[in-house]
Amino acid sequence: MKTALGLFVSSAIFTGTIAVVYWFIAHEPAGTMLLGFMSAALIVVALYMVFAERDADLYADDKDATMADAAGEHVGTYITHSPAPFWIGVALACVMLGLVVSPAAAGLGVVALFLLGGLLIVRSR
Amino acid sequence: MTAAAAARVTPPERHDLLSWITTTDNKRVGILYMGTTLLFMAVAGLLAMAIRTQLARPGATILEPHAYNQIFTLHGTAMIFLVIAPFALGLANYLIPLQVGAPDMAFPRLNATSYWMFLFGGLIVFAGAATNEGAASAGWTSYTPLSEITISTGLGQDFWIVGLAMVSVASIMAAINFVTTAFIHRAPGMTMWRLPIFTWEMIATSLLIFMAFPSLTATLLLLFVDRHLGGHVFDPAFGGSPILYQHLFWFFGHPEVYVLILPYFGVVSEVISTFSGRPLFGYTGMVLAAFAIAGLSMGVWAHHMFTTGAVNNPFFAFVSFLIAVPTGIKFFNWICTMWGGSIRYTTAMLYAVGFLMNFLLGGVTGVMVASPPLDFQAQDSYFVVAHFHYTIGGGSFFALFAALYYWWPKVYGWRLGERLGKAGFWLTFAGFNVTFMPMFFMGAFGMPRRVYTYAAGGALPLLNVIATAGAFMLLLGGILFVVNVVVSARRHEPAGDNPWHGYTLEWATTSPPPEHNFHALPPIRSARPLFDVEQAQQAKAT
Repeated sequence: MKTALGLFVSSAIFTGTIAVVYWFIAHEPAGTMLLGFMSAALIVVALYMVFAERDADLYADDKDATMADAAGEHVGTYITHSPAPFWIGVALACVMLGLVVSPAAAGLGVVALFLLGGLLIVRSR
Repeated sequence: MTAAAAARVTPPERHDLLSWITTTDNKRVGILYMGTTLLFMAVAGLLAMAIRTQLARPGATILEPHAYNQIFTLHGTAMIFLVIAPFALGLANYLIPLQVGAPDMAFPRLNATSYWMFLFGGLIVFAGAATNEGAASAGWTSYTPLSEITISTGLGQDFWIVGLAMVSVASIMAAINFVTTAFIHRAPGMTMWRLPIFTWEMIATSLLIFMAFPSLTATLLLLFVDRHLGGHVFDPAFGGSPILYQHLFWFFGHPEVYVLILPYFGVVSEVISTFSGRPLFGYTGMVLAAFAIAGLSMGVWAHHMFTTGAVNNPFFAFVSFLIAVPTGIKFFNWICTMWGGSIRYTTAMLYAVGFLMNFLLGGVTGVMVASPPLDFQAQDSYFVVAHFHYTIGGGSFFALFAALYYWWPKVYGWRLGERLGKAGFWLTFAGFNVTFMPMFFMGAFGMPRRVYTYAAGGALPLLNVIATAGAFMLLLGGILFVVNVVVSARRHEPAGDNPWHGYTLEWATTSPPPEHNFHALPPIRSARPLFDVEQAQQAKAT
């Protein structure tokens, strides 16, 4: 995780530095804001990773770890099928097309998205 | 768990239509992604043929101007947003869990959702062609005021905006999955510095997607607000700025070029290493170069705006020149990997070498147009068209085919024919260069891009007819690939688990891999675990 964290931190420092240099060279607000926001967004991810690292139990970062080290009762759950992604795609397509051609279609898409969200919450309980 | 035990506890995989629609398996989502992009590629390729046919001779009237504008807009949009970039996302979907030793993506449902959003977004973009005034016709960049409601009055432009917004969000969702999977779901012993180079390149690509694609989504929304909600964000009559559109668009658009190429750097690295029979030369340097390219690419967006007079040209020229350094490192490392190796010129390797040659020309001409004095001459001419086709077409497109030939046996369990494959490569390589090399000269002779006809005098008619002949060779190369797939599928020659003698983890599982990717994993003690296993077996035998 340290390498991964380093990637985000170094990217944030790099883009932040470029933002400052760019402002003093070009005095151009649009690019400076974009670079600045990018740096800030990377810092947010890096901060999340600092906290996430505390809970992480990564055998992958141990050079000498074996498969047996990671064995245990809880191996995670991997679903192989779900109808939700397809219907979310259909509903979002309705919303986006509805914005262009028909508010009714957009409303239908929004309702479908809410129903799907509710269904997923109920199922996850 | 042994293979026999796994077979006992794993229910048989379903292969009906419903199982594909509801799948969240990373491999199936990857196949759906790649299959869809190949279909979009066929359509975008046919659109390119229409463009080249129209331009074959001066004054041709095969297409009327508005239809021509729609066709080059759809061609560019499809190739960039719906083919080259998402093919890499599909390949990464398939490969990253396999390369890091994970049973699936970190967020399988999010992963499948990203595919369906990509598919519907792409279809919406094309559906614009069925509207009253046809598809979007403001070019793939859709600069304002060309894309504003006052000029692009039809629904096609709106379909383009909302379709691409969906594709943009889908790409961000896919990138979140790649990074989380590579960071969190690595198998024990697979440290970050043991990750295969393709996975590293996808991490760099994902970082770029995080940084650049939100700008695209925001730009599209602002354009929509301008068109329908009286925004005037890009309207100078009300204090808005078309230059702001260019800033926002290219803040996404130039990193996008590296989103289109970094994954294929990974493909080429894997292919060259395997078929040279050597580990990749300068692994650490290759990884650092990928991140240097990604980082620098965020600071070069306005080199597309040199001629506006509204940007600091020396700053953007300097940073653009800098990108040549890490790219050069990669080139030297590929050559050093091949140097002294036992090279096997399979079809995949031929495409990788073709990539090197084409991309070198694209890169060198990129350095040329990064120089403002030269760019002022080349801006909006066919020189630029040739440059970016050598980069994205000659580069990414060739690496895409290298990936298809290299990983096809892993995906389907049978190989693509080498004889037809090599014939297809030579046809494609020759066709590509015959098509796009003359365009450098067209640009030098002053032919502007995006024109539907040109004057009859001078060298342009001859150069254009040569380019059109090359395009038909490319089409033939594409047809040969389809023929190869059909013939090879009928022959169904079993490939085995590791037909190319690869050393990364995806070659440690069956071809095709089981639903949970691995029945068993070898110990991971380096970036080439299968090589370690092989060495251990040889040592035991002696």
